Amino acid sequence: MSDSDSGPGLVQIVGALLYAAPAPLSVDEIRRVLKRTAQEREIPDVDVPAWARAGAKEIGAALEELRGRLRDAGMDLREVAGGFRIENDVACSPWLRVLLDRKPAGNRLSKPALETLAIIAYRQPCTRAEVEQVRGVAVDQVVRRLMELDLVRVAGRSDLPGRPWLFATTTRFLEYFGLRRIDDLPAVEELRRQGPPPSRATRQKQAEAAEADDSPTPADKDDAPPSEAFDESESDGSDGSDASEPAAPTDDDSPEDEEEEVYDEEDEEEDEDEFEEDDEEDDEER
Amino acid sequence: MDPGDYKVQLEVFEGPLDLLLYLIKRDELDILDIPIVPITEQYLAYLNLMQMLDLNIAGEFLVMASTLLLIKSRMLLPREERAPLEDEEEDVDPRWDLIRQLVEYKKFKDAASFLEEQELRQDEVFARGQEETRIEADPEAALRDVSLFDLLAAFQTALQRIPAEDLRDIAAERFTVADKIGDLLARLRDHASFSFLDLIRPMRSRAELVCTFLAILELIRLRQIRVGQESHFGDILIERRDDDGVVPALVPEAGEPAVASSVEAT
Repeated sequence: MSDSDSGPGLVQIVGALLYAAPAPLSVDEIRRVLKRTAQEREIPDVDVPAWARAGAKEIGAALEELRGRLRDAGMDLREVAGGFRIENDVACSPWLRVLLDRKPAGNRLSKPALETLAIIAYRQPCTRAEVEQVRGVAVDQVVRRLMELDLVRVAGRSDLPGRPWLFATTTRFLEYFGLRRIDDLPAVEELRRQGPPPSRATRQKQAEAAEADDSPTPADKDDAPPSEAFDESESDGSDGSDASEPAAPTDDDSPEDEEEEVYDEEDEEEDEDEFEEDDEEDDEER
Repeated sequence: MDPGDYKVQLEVFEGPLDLLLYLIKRDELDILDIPIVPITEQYLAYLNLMQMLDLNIAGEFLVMASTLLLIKSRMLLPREERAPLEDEEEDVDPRWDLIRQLVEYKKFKDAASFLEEQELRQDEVFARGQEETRIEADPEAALRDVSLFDLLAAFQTALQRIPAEDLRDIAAERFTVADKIGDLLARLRDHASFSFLDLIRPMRSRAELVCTFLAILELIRLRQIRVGQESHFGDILIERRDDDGVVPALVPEAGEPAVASSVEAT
């Protein structure tokens, strides 16, 4: 496919990266790979540094071009969880089902689970009590199940009395539902945190707590709404989804690497234990 | 009512607001102007059914029942005679808080159906990364096309068809959920699907009906059957689920209450 004289073009390089990437690749991640390749490799007769100079605009154009070519080949280029990914044309799924021996799974999450997830997605980070206020019924078991499925994570603690846990959705949530970002949800502006609060007093306290808390939001590129009340270190990388890890190893020498995420498995386990204890406290309060 | 010491394990994660929205939709009521007297009656009738079936329902159902009764009593009184409530604003419709809550919840339900559609769409995607996100179905997901409240509606209709005089004969027959599970599985071996109304038509006692209904709930939970509805609020269709293999020989010993626990392991 490439012009054999001058090596692969940007469309070919980007296409190959997306083909092999284990998780959706963002434009920034693609740029990083292009830069590092220029620093580390020399390929005879290929102007590798030229690709390192490709900006977001050029890469965007290459992605568009690639999208068109993939469509001719039964594939699609979609933006999922903040990155690009090659997918099959959904019209071709019947053949893939035969090949992979996969029956249609239908909906796997129950309605209550989907509703709980929707509330957390729009209101994140939010406490369990907030979700229960909307649904009018206890959601602890449902939230627990969503955490097991890695669709929901603990995103810190609220400053409300009892310091209840705050919950947010994960990168995997975006991947599972094929969403680019939280803002892709319908009516996101309306549902975000201005619905009619059933208990004004509680909500007000919550808003105040949110304002009082200026601790910096960790650079969580995926799904955390920027201006909400995060606090504490628990929110650091408790995402737990390795899918958001950049495909190419990120590193030491790239100064623009603000988004590097650190995962700490043990930390996460601790989180969960604490969550259990806290649960019981909460129950007593209610 | 003695359903044979049998406690159905199906968790009810729907709450009182779900029930109210269900009733509003079914009777095509205006959510902004809920007729509080009939809706309270309907609500209490469902609550009664759920208690009769000894389902694992949340305490919030009872709280909502008292809220509805309070609203109802306040609506009946002229404004000046209502006892003042704490921090209540002047001239507020007693239904207002409830309506506000229902409207807000409704919006999130709509958002949830968006997620539901996305979930189905992603099931057609076999990209790398998507494969890893596949998850096991929730047992309650089997109840998604037909809500628990639809099932209860069918159950209620069936109960009403039972002539009152037959109630005296209960002592003569003893039914158990375990037996009914066996009956249903036997029937499913011959028929891939059948209608709920046809199933219960010959039944003449409440005990039998209750046991049959609980058996259906249990088989849903065990993913042996799925339930569908031909039209909204119409008859319930009970179908064999073939996707998880054939219907296993799960016929329990008659009247053995241990089915629930032995089945837990699966």
